[in-house]
Amino acid sequence: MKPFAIVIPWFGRDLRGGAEMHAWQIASRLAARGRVVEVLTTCCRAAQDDWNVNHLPEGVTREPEGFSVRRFRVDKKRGKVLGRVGSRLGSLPKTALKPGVSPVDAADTAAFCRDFMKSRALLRHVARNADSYHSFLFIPYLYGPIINGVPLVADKAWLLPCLHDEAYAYLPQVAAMFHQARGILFLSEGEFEVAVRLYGPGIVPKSVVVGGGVEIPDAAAVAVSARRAFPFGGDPYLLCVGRKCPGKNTPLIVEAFQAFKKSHPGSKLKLVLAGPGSADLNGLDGQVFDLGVVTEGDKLALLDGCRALLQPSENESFSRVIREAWFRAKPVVVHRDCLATATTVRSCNGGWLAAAVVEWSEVFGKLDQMPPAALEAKGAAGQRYARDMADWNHVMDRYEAVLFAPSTDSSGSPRRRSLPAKQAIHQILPALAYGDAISNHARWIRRQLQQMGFESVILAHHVDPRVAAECRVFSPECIKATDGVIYHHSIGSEVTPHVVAHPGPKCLIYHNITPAEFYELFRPEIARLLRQGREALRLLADNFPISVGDSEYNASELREAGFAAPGILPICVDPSLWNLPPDARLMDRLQRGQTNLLFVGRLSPSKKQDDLLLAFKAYLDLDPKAELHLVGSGGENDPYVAYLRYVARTLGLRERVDFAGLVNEAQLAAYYRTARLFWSMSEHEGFCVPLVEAMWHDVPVFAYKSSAVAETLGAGALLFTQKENVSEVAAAAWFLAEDAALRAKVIAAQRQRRLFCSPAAVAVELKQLVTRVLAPSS
Amino acid sequence: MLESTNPEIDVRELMAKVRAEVQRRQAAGALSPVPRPSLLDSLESQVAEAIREARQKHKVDPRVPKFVHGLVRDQGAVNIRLIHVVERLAEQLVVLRAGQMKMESEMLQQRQADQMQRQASQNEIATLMGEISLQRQVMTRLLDELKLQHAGTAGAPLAARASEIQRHCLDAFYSAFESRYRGSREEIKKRLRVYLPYVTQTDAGTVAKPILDLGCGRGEWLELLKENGCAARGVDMNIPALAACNELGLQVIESDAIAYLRSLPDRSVGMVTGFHIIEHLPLPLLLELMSEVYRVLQAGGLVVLESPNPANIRVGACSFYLDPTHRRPLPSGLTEFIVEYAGFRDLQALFLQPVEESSHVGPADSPVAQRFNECFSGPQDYAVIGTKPVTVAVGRGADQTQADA
Repeated sequence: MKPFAIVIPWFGRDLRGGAEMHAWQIASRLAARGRVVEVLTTCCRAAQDDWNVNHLPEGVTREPEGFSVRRFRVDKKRGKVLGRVGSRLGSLPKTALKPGVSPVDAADTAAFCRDFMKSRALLRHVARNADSYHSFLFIPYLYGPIINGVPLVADKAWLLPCLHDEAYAYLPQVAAMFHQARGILFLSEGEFEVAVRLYGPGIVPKSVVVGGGVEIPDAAAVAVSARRAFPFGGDPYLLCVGRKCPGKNTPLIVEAFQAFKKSHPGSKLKLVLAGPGSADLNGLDGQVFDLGVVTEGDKLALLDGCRALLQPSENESFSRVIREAWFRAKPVVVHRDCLATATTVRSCNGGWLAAAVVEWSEVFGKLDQMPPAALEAKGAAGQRYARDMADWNHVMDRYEAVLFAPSTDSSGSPRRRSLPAKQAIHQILPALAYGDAISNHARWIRRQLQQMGFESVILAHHVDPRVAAECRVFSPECIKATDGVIYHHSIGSEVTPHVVAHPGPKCLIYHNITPAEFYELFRPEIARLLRQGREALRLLADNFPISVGDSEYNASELREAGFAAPGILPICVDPSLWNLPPDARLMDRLQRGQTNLLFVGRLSPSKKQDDLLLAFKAYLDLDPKAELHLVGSGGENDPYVAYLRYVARTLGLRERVDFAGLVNEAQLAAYYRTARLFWSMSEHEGFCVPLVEAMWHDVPVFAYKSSAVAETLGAGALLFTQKENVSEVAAAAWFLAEDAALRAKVIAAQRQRRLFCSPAAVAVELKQLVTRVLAPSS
Repeated sequence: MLESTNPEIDVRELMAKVRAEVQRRQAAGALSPVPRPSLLDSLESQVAEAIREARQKHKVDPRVPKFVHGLVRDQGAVNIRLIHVVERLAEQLVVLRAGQMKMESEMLQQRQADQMQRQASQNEIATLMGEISLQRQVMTRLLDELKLQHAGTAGAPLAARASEIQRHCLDAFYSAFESRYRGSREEIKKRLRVYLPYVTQTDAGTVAKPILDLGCGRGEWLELLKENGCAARGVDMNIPALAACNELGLQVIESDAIAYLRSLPDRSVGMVTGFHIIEHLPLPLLLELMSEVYRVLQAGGLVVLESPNPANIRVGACSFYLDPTHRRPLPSGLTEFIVEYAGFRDLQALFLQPVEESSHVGPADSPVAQRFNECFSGPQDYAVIGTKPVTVAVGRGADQTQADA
């Protein structure tokens, strides 16, 4: 059995850092479950020691818990770059940090990531012996061995980042690491939310919230402590455990408690602080008790007696003490702006949120008066959460399910089904283009068919040179009579008669045909092709017994054209396409304080970007800083594109409208990740992939209700039904862009909806379709 | 305009906020109209730019060696001919466009003439309908009278009946007059939309807080309220107008406004509106009307009164008198005082329906022209909106001293 490697800068039984304690538990418990585990670490003793000094001997040792530890020497760091860059990163305010934009220049980040705890020996061992290990778990996200180790074994690397929203997390090498890792494990939903915000939805498919276990304390130690008398006597108290310093917001809660006491002079409630820190915060005439460092037993006894635990820090990814409080059915109060802890408290309803001093003070007032049953209810909710997510047995079950999943090989690819003979199912399209939704869908279908064991190619009459390697130019000789054929119909084409005549198994995928009248004024020759495409439907209906539309809207047109019982196969939208760093230059340009409004789609008369420009003009009266980004292809000589540019010029919008053109995935990711609102005026869509893309990026969508738009957006969308009153349309869009509560409602609904066309969901539908196509009667 | 299947989103509330925001910014002059650039203008512009670029690039770059000039000379000749052809085409485009515009203008004029003709016909029909309705009423009442006389039942003296019938003889005239001069139904409804946010903000229009429209006339406001799901009724004495309201399924009562108000219990109405009624009343009746309105309104309820704005001299000196039943112009300050005197507080004045900018005189930056335009092209109507206070306000016109809260 190949060993499972845990890579961590420091490791030891007695280390008290969160990541180190977690790593110890994972190693011990995996070993206890029969796994072969080897920890790869350095000869440094602890985080607070000098990282240039190899305190511990190099080599392999065996722990009584059944796993081995292999230590490597660290290299001496040279030069002052590390100190300078570290200082700069530590001093940056949060407002200066922007996702996708490096907080320091490229040379400094490279030097920092190379030298921030350097062990060439460890990295060499990982690189040379990658095949000898089952896989690797890298903990935590920062430090040289991790940042430089993950890329060496990316397809076998799992990352347990222990992520904070801090300047280091914005370094491009750190972002690249998140995208390169095979999978990412998170201690909490909140930490996961932080990661998605920083690195985009591309990491969602490979992320798992495994939780973080908390060790159940020794009952006797707690019993002893319970008998000890604390200086605050039997008065009710709120407890704050942890380092006392501004970085953990200790002054914030002391100030809030002072304010509470001023407005409630008769209250007996006390504030108790326990933890290291140089300041003595005893005071406020005996209302605040600073116990300093306490024993584990004391800590647990304090938890048992408190009304609630306070965790005011904004820099937490996990917070062990919160889970300890919940295990003891104690509610907690956390900082609203700490995404990691706030998300968890919100999701399990195990406490309250507060941010400013006045909010904390109000919560203290609530806690002072709250009846015991209400406190217990919150505590019980937290306890239910802790028993699932913080119980080590459940946590380890999740680790094993992810790390040792039997159905995946080490490359992460699903096993290929082998067929007795290679049946072929090919796809035929009028055109295969770059960046086009139908073309991308065809490429995804081909991968699925190949994974199912079929021989499959894409054949197209017109081929964009940028995707030429992925398909062949259609000729009738490419298809044998017994081959299966999937024909994508969206416009009149020379290939249509050939697919009609094909005698073998076949099905038609209908992507809808833009009504010709949209193009009459601008491109009459395209209007002619569109009309031909619609006219061809009747002929196709007689010759394709099996058909599907991307949507019920499309399927209904098939029915009207005479197709028998058309089904639905949504276009697959795979968020892992965005598992890459967004375009850095664009991220910088798009995060300079402006409100970014976005529409993604070909510049086309049916998508009505001209209406969007008019409404945007009205929007600028409400928000002069707004910018409209029109992302999508459109030839410079195209009459509609020329008309759009004329409209923009005439309305004085040249400085505020960005005709982005056709962009690559990194650029598209940048546009979505910085957008405040996705705004569609389109009057014809058969599915509209960009709507789903916006949903994945948590960009609220405001769309004109037409064709399949409402169907794709599903329940919970906000639509508008008239465009004539541009002032009202613009004002409604402005509300959705600016009103936090309204945005939250729309985004919550979008998060539910976006899964309907995920790869897993569509793969099931595709498999059923293929079965129908190849069934003997077809 | 807005639609959502999200149960968390109150679309009606959101739409009210949207409209209120738009109204607020329009009133502050912060919203500019957005004209749609025409496709033909765009084509002309493209052609002009293409010709300019072609002429510029046609010239041979002096850095090109002389021996190559011969090679490009023929190409140059072709380019020149193409440029000429495109210029001719552009000229033709201008001619065609002028022709099209002329045709569109003629079609528009014809359409407008047809519309006026249609409106005139409708007015005629309305007048005739009014007359018919009135005659029907007269006949019904005469027959009732005859029956009463025949049955020997004691009833009102015939003379009093006759004068009541005579009073209604003007109904048909007034209905026809309104059809000609008030504006189309759709136009009036569009103007009245400005008051919908006030309905929303006080939650008026429910069964517990119904809306009462005094002098409801053709029922445009009642119809608008009905479309927005509000409970409302109207009061008027004009029989043809009431008949039209009934045809639309609107709830209306034939009565004198003050008499009807007197019949209502205290604090039984959520909102009272009166569009272009106060200028028909002498001062004593107006004061009595306000007193009754105050009495019947619930605490926090609004009174909305709209009247022609004599501060616009064209209105005050001329168009106000077009309606022969108008008594005298009421400056907004006077109306505000009357409303406040009746006990209402938190008064707001809205100034509405400015004359179109095409009627403005002088350069826009001329102070004289600006003053002139303010006097002659300013808002043609105004509205005063008052709130019945929640705590006791012992208004001079309000006799009750009982607390409302």
